[in-house]
Amino acid sequence: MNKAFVFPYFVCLSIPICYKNVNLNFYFLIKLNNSLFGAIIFIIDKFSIFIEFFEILNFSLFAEKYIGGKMLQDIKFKFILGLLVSSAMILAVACSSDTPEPTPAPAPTAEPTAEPTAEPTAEPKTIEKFGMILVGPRDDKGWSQAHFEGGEAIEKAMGAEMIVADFINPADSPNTTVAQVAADMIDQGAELIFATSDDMKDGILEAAAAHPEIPMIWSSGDSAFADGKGYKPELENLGNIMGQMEFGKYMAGCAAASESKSGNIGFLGPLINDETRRLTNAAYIGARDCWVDKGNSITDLNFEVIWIGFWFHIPGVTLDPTTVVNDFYDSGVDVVISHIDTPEALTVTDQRAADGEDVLVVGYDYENSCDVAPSVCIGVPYFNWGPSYVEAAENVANDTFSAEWTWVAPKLENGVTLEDSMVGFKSGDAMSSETSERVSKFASELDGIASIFTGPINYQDGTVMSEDGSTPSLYDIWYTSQLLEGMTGDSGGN
Amino acid sequence: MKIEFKNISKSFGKVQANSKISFTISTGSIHAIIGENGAGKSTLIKILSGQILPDEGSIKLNNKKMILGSTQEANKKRIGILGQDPLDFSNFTVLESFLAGGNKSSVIVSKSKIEKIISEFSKKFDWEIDVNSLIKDLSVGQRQQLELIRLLYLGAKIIILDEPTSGFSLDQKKKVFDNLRELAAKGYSVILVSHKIEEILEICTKVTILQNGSVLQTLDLPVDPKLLIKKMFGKSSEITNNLTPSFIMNNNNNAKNLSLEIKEFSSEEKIKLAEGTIIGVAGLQGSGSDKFIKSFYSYSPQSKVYSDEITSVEYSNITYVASDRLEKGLFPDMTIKEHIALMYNSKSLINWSNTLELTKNLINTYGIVGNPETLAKNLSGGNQQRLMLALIKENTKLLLLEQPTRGLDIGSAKFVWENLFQTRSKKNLIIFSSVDLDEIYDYSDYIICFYDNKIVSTGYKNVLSKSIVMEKISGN
Amino acid sequence: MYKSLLQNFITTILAVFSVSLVLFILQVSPLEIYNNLFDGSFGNLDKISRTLLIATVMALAGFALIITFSAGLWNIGIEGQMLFGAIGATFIARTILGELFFAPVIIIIFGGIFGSLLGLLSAFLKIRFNVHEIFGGLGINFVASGLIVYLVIGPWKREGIASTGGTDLFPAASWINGFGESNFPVYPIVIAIFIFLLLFTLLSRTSLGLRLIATGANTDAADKFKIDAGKFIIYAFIFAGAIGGIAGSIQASSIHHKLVPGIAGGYGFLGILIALIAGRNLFTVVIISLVFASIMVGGVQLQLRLGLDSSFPYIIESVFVMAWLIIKASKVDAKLLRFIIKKEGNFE
Repeated sequence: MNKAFVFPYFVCLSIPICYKNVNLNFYFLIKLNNSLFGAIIFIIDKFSIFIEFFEILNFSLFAEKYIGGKMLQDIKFKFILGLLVSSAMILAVACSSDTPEPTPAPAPTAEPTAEPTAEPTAEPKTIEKFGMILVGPRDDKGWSQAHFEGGEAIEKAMGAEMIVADFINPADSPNTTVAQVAADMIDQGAELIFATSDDMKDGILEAAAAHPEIPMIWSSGDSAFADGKGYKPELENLGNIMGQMEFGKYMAGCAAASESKSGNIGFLGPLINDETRRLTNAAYIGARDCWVDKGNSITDLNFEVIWIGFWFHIPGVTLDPTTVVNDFYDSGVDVVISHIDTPEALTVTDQRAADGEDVLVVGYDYENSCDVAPSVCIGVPYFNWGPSYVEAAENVANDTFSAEWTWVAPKLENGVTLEDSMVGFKSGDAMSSETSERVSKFASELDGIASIFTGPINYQDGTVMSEDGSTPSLYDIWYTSQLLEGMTGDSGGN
Repeated sequence: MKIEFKNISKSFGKVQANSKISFTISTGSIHAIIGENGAGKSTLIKILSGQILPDEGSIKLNNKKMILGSTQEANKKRIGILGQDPLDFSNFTVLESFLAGGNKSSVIVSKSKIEKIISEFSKKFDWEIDVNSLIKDLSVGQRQQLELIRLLYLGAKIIILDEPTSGFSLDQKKKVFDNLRELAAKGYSVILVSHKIEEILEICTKVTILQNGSVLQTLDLPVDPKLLIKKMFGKSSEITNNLTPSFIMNNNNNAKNLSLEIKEFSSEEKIKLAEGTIIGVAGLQGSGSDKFIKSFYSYSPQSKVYSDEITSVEYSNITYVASDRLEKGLFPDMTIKEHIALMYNSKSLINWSNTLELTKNLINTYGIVGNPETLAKNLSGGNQQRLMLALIKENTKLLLLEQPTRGLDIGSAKFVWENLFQTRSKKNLIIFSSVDLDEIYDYSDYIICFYDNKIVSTGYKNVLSKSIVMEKISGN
Repeated sequence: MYKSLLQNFITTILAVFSVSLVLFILQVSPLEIYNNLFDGSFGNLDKISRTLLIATVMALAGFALIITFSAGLWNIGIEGQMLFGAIGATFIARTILGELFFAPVIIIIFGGIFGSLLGLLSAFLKIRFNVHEIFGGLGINFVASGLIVYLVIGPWKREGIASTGGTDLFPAASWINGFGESNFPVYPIVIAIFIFLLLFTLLSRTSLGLRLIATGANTDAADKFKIDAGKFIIYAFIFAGAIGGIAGSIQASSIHHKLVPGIAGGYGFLGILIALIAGRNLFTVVIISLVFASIMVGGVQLQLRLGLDSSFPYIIESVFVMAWLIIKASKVDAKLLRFIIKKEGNFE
């Protein structure tokens, strides 16, 4: 390799370190690096200013061209020193801002809290450690953060130590599988493992089979649903927990339609599966009810769903949610409902609103995700995994754990979420009082998850989901096969 | 600016390139420096431009001593060289090359300004240079024009032209010369290094003739061109007899007829020769003689050798020995053994112990100073050439040698030729190029003279006299 | 041989020292890190198996690049070749062939063929259209990753699901399993050793290999030796593509058991670094791959045990590579080697 190319490569290699703050991942950085490397070669090739500088790198050439030869040693030394110092500086600068982060991160905090809780309540059974496998970063203001805080609730309640592994998905951590992470956690003494994504199915099934003595929870899964398609009776250590987010989504849809002036609502969907279909449908039903309640005609409601392809943005693999949301607004949508793990929709809406557009957004997953863009956030349907996770941990501690499929209903009172509800809806600053009233009115009329899907409801292809006045079974709701009549978007059929 | 050379000496190893060179170039003159190849012209120029530090001697510019061996100093003193093949940023556009090569290294350079400058000069010289075309798409002549503009733009006061005008047409040459005269009148000094007597006579006011590294004479021009040629080639122009008995003369009877097809270079379509002939291609640097040699070497060559009327020599039986041994002929980072294996191993698996034996034999036979594991780049020039000889396969029918003794000392050069003579009978034809007329006359049977990419004269050595060849290759 | 090994050893020590220095600056104990890395990657049979499996894939990528480096080519398209190998593997696993008991063999072979097809495309672009292999390779990588996303979310999607999370799992017959009950990746290792020996022979004992190297060393001179550079560029790309494809198919059928986007895992690009570090030394490729694999596998521990950020292993890796290149460029190691040898005085 030409010596002249070595230096730019150093620079490129240090980029992942510089980007570390921004929670970008190395896989794409390597890609980025290589394209940068290519670009730099191109620049050297193309632009003159670099030429002389990089010729200096080629020591012998430099010596021949510019010096008699005596100064060579001296210059070489100075140059290498310079290189070392500058790369060290790049590193130091890039990483110094992170130094406070890694050091306090180890969880010594768990120890002191463990002591006081342990003493007064005459030694309740407890677990020491548990593992939390997150699909995204623990601070994504979305799905993963909600789980992470659920884990923190266990830490608080039982004084157990949480072992966290985040970014566990094939794009960010192509070298790490869920089964491997679970094995590592068990190695470290984890007595309970949470695998917190639908995407972790294959991995957690493998892990559960490999470690039958360790209780595990696959959130949002169906492996313990006795009547379900994916029932795995042989995995007696693998339970499922999911909240009935249909309530939250129903309220989200209602709030969106209530705030919408044009009736054009954009739904930013992740990937297509049973779960996302039924939740999207719930949002549509909410939107439909409240749109009609405002005195509009149902035909004026335009509910469009666009799927990005995964739970969050993976450059080059999924659609870019930022682009999708912008496209929504460009096409006349005035309210976007986000369903992905990360809050891009809120950020974009905030920007568009700052430019003077009359646009609003509904968040997802994490109770405080409205904080990202308070002024345009109508509200957020959120998960509160804490109570259920604590319960699961207590069951493990008391040896009463069994592989159950729990689909937890929310605790609502007059349409308002109670604090310990698994699923809830939190209003944002942008919600009008009229909408607020309408949402609680409709929410309080609900009686169980099935009531959301009270007929007549047809699927997109015209087949009937529920007859007039009747409600579908839990099975049919869980395994919703299509979007509903009246919605625009791909059902993901084969 | 007045330039005084005083007792400049420089030797490379045993070779004395410059010895006690002293002469003065006066202000406002156009001064020619001429001499045979190896007379020491380029060394002297390199010393003036700071690329080489002389062993002794000094240079005074306007009576002020110049710091030697520093290109920065030369730049400061506004010395600029126009070389034979200027500007190697071949992927740049004209404009970019200006930005890149500028010693005026201000950070921001105005593109439009440079565009203006180029177009102004172009108008003055009547040149057509598109600032947005790529350097590699320009002809050599255009590159030289561009380089001249660049030198002037950079403010050179002493302009050294090193064999510059091969790329100019007659008209353009005139314009350039007019401008050079104009510049000289303004107080610029112009130094012209050239082989072309006519040019020198046309524009120069003085000429310094170098021979074997020292000054033979400095003459005021004009003088008789024949005298100049005589002086330039020194004693060698007087030697007429040849010690090597001509192969052709002795083997005339059993010689089979070969023919050369060389449409590209000559109006003569074919040259008929006897088998075993050694052809010397005479021509000055850049005259096209090397291009001629190269034109035989390809799957579908421009020039062909027919062993009888129909069949041409096959590619696999042609060996081409490049003059740039390390850059074009050998693999610098590979060992002698690997070179031998590459050339002589015909099986898919390499038997290294056999190859080692063969390598040792060849090293002995060819007297290469090195062992089988020596890297090619660590061999001296002479040994590299010996390795090249060792790599000439037995089945070679047509051997092409591009300046085979370039840069070699006398001993190595002699070895090369002895070796080639020993094996000549096995080959149908050897073609070599050389800028050294003595070499041509010592070793060839048939001579082809090159000037300006064209064959200007051909003939057997005993027919074509040396003085004619000299005139022909100088363009007269 | 002895000398170059010793020299690389010195370089490794210096590079590790630099890493320690950086860790020190970051206020983390290097010893603790190394301890965790080692424990996490060689702590028990399961971890050793995992490390070896990843090292195998990396080493294969490195081998592939050594071939192209030998021929003087920058095979940036290696990532795409691995992706294509994985596509080939999935293609077989989804057909009836995937149910056969010798399915893994077909999968590996098809992975190789698919990879070499893409390699051929790079060579074709370079020779026919004079597209530099770096740019051709970048383009090909984009095409390959685009194609995978299309396949995963389109024709090969799970029933009723459209997610870039991956295809259905391969049928069990198509899995490349470990040795006996364990996960010990005996078959991938056998493949890697086979390719190692093949390459070793190719590069040091065959005329083909020597010509390949000659093409890379000096194209002009190769012409004088009547070596058709174009032909050897094609060979190099086909070989490299095939090995990359095999690496990709191992990723698919041994690690993920399904096709996911980005299945090449960045190993192709890592392979470039590995080959860059190793020069043309196959043995060094194996060593560096092991080091990198242990950093990757053990790196999970840094997050799990020390609570360090998940990007930490990559910092260590980058610093290691950076330090290595600086050391090599400055020839500090060669000087040290000379110093040591002079001191001992018993070398030539």
